[in-house]
Amino acid sequence: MEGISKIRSTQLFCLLFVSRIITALMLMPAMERSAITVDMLPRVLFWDVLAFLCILPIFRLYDHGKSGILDYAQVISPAVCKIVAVLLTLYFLFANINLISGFEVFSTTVVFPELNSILFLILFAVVCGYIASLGLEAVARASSVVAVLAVVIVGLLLITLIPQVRKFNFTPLFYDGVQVPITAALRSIANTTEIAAIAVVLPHVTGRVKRIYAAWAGGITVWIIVLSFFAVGALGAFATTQLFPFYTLAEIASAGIFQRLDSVMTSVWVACAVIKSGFLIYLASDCVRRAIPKLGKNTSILLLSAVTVGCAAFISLDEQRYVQMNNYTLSLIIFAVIVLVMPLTLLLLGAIRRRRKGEEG
Amino acid sequence: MKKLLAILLVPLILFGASGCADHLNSDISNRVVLQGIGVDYEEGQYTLTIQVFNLSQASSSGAETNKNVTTLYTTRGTTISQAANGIRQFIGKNPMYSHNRVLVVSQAAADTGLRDILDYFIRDYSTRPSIDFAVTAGKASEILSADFGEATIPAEEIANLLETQSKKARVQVMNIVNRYIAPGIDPTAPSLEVVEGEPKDAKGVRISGVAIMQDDRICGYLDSEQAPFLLVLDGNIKQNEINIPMKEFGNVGLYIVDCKSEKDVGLRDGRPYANFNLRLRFDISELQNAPQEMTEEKLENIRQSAEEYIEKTCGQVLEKLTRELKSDVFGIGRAMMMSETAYFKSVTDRWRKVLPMVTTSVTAEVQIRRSGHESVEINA
Amino acid sequence: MFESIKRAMKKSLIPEDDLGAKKENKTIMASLRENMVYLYGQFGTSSDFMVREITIADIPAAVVTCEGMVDKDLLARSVVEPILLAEHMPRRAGDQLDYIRAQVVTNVDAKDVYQFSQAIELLLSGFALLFIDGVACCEAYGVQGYPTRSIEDSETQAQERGPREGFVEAIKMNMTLVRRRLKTPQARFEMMTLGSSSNTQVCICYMSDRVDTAILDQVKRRLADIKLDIVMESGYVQPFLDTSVKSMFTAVGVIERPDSFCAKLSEGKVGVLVDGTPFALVVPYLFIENFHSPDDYAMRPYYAVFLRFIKLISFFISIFLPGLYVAIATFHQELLPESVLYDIVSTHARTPLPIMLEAVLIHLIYEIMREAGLRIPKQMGHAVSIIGAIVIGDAAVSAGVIAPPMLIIVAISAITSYVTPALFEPISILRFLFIFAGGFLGFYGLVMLGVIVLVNLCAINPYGIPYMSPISPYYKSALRDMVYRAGWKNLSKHKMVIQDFGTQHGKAVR
Repeated sequence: MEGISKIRSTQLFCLLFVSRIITALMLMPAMERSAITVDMLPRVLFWDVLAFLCILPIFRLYDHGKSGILDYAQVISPAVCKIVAVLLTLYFLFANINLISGFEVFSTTVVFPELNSILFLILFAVVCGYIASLGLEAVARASSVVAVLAVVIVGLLLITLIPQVRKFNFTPLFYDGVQVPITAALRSIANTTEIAAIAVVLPHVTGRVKRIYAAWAGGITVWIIVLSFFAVGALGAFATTQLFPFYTLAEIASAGIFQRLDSVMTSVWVACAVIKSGFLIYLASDCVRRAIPKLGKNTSILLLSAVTVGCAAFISLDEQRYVQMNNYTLSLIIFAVIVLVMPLTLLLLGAIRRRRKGEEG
Repeated sequence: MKKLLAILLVPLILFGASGCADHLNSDISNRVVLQGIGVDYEEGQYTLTIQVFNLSQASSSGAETNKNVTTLYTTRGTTISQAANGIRQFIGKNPMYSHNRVLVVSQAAADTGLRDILDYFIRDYSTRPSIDFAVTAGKASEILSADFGEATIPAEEIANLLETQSKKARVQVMNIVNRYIAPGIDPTAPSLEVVEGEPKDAKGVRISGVAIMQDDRICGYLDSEQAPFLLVLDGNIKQNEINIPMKEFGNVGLYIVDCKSEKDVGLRDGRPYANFNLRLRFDISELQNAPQEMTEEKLENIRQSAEEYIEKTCGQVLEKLTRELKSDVFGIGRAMMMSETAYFKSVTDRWRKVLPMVTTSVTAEVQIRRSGHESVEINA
Repeated sequence: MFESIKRAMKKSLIPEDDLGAKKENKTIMASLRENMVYLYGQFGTSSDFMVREITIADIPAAVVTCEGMVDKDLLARSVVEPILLAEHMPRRAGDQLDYIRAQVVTNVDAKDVYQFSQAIELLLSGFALLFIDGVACCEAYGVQGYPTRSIEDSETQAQERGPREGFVEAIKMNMTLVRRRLKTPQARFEMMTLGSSSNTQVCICYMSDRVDTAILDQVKRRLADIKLDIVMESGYVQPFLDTSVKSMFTAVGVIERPDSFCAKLSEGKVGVLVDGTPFALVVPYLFIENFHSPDDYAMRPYYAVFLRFIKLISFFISIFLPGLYVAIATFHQELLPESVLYDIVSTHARTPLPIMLEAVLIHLIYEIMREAGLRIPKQMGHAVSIIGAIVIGDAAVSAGVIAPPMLIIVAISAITSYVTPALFEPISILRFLFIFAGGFLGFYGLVMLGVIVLVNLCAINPYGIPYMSPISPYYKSALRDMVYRAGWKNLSKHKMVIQDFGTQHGKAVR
């Protein structure tokens, strides 16, 4: 009775929203060789279009018997399902390593450089592993609460920044050319793990999934536009000197006698990062158990957490390795394979299989 | 066995993750709270004058609230970070920059380039970019060591002084950095000087004017007479006084209730122009030769005189800034970027040379809201 | 005659540790002597086992009671006296019992018993047993007269406005208190016995027209599966009804007030009364219900909402405040305004311990004093308060062992924990955990631990009902009763039942 793994579509929305919040907040323009400017608006709109195009094959898969990507692959053949499962496991693992190492870079750069990285990573992985072990439903419900808190806290922080917004900080749209926001949008789509997550969790969701996807995309768009508005308006060109400009927004925020509210922002980040990492470990665990059915749930979570810690520690100890891991081309290729090539291939195989069955029948 | 391992793992992680030795150092009693920093430059080295909260003095002062509870330290280094690190040699505790109220940079230090000085304050994780910034023509150490009388924390007095001038015009480190990085706008900063017995027994520091910069270097000053008009042109002044000399009434004191400034920037016949449209509302705070009766005609007279005076003075200030000092403190370039993007792109690299050629004008629209409580001369 | 029985019994004494013999479902025999031998064998030399020999129309009979459990006066008036004074008593034993049953005994609570196990259970529950030689059954008469506590107001669940009645130890009385409030045949009571040695009576209460049968079946099944030796308190039974997710928070409500209990039953929940304790259990119990009190529904809505808000805030303050203070003072001093920072720096500079250890120490002392105050005899209670006030409040601060701000934090944390007594246990432990988390890892630790607790709460699904409903999953319609309290005119339009919080499958339990 306990451990039911069905979630509502609104819970999926919250889960995806929290996942995207942390990605947006941890944006490092310096890493991307871009900047927080007014071009964030076209960037996020381009991202909307790209994300919509990417989700179409997955919804097409879903339309066949309300199945997720793994269930669809299973119908084609168990071997195909195993291949898909392994690829997805590696993808979610990669995303999680990226997240955790990025968070470690953030912690040791702007929060507390004296932090012991290795043990922090272990602790983080232990917490996320525990959360993953409690199941999808628990993570989804918790994400609802975290999403509301995040929006409220960040919203209040941004309100305190209103007096600091300056008109002269805004630049014309496409001042540096159209290429910049398009490239930035491609980079954004490359780290949109939520689309692959949707492909896996769809069978566990009740309610109107497509509508929720639209709400999520719209919500994220609004979120990024609002954040960018304040980042540009309050920081201006100063943002280009900061590794985490959205974090700097919190540094300059003040509410009455309380100043430097970055610790409050950090709390939101930690909560969102923990939820996202727990979700990714759960997804990876779900996928790896499709590939290796004999593997127990807790064993798989333990193994995946250990691998995550090991790789994240290796990467984050050297900032250059982290930069290389976030290589734009590599991320885009991986994303395209997982989110576009794989579902389209499955659809093709499915169509061939149906035709053969039709011919035989 | 699993439970035993888990129980053993927890304290290991907790102690390890905290970096136990450093954990103790981050305890509040092992930190020294910085209140103000002054930067000077002498003989190729930066000299930092650091005002710290003196814990033992604060503890012993107890109920006494009018005792200075700070101590000054002076450290030197070839870079700011080297000089800042020197504080540990004096106190042996980790400095805490989060409560640093003010950063004062001397002219000599600013001449080396604010970019180099401020890099430490925007790069280091513990400093915050929203601290008040000021410059001084003299020595920053004199500003921080000025006698503030009964003030418990002098740096706080300096910060309050800078803050109350005009909240919107408050200059913080990040504003300076933003303005010298962004094309088409230059920074300004309040300039401080030590009060020396004028008026008698006066203590502390005062704002002597505004330092004008080209990118990250000081190129000139506006004195205390001209500085308010810079704020008027920027639309950033409120709750301040302007004196207008008039034949009929002598000096008329006008209290600024509201001030708005709109820039109209563009190209006219291929030449850039910038028109400043000012809208001000005043209350009359003082009339030296107050009439027995304040009529509408007299009010209109005052209003017109105020308009003319403001247009003239603001025009002079604008001329000085754009042509003489060649500093774009009002962001004319930024406005040009929005209205004439292609043009600005073509002149961005030589905007400093184009700026003096911008045709500027000031039009003021003044409204007198109140003429004050007294309308009849007392000794009539 | 009975001396000879006792001698015979000694020869064939059943060992006390032979539980198999005790559980043997032996039928009552026709021979009075054999029945007495058996009973004496069961009770051994227990001095409260009483046998009154009588003769009914020259046929030997016996009235068996457990001294202290029966009202002797009632027994004499309604059973023994009528039997002895009965006229026209038949001569045949079987007819005698029928005659007594139909026309002699005035006691209304009478039942035929054919098994010794049932007879013993009734005997130990305050029934008197009538054995007649030649009849292979006995008659049990309800003449309970054991001492019970009178009905008093609940001490642990005080309320400002509402009835001043609380449950007592006697299960029958508790059932009466429930029945008085639910005067409907839909209110059902099902009895069962738990504890192989204590044979404690347990009553499952529910309203048949609204209870979820799946939950009810689950409760019955879980209770039936309990293999305990003794059941002295409802707390023994509670873990068996609780969630399988390891959590500090329980999904079983503990209620001492009959009005609260009945209100829960009316929501379709299942209640369990346990004999010997005034604390009843209710399942399923949601997290938000810890912030409810029965007088919420007696007060005006605006004030009830305010009180619920106060309780919610108090809960968060009690668990977070000490940890938050330690985290800020140790790692995040930038959050403190200057005036507060200087005071804290000055005071903590004089204390020898790091802030985290100071917090742990003072909380430990508080917990010790709280426990001492609970256990200490009332006559010495004032000494505890004096020690607390002088030693901790004054001497420790003056000596510089602890800082005044820390004392304030502890005091606020302690007071706020009393606002939600239902959550006292998790609050006490979580407080320490958050102090450690904040002291070692600052806000990181607080947030990580907070998320762990949140996810743990969200993972609890008592009987298929999400523990964090209606917050997560979000049920808008439930908010008007569970989070804030709408007026009765609004509430009366739709009765909230537990099935409203079911999973998306629409069923409460799989």
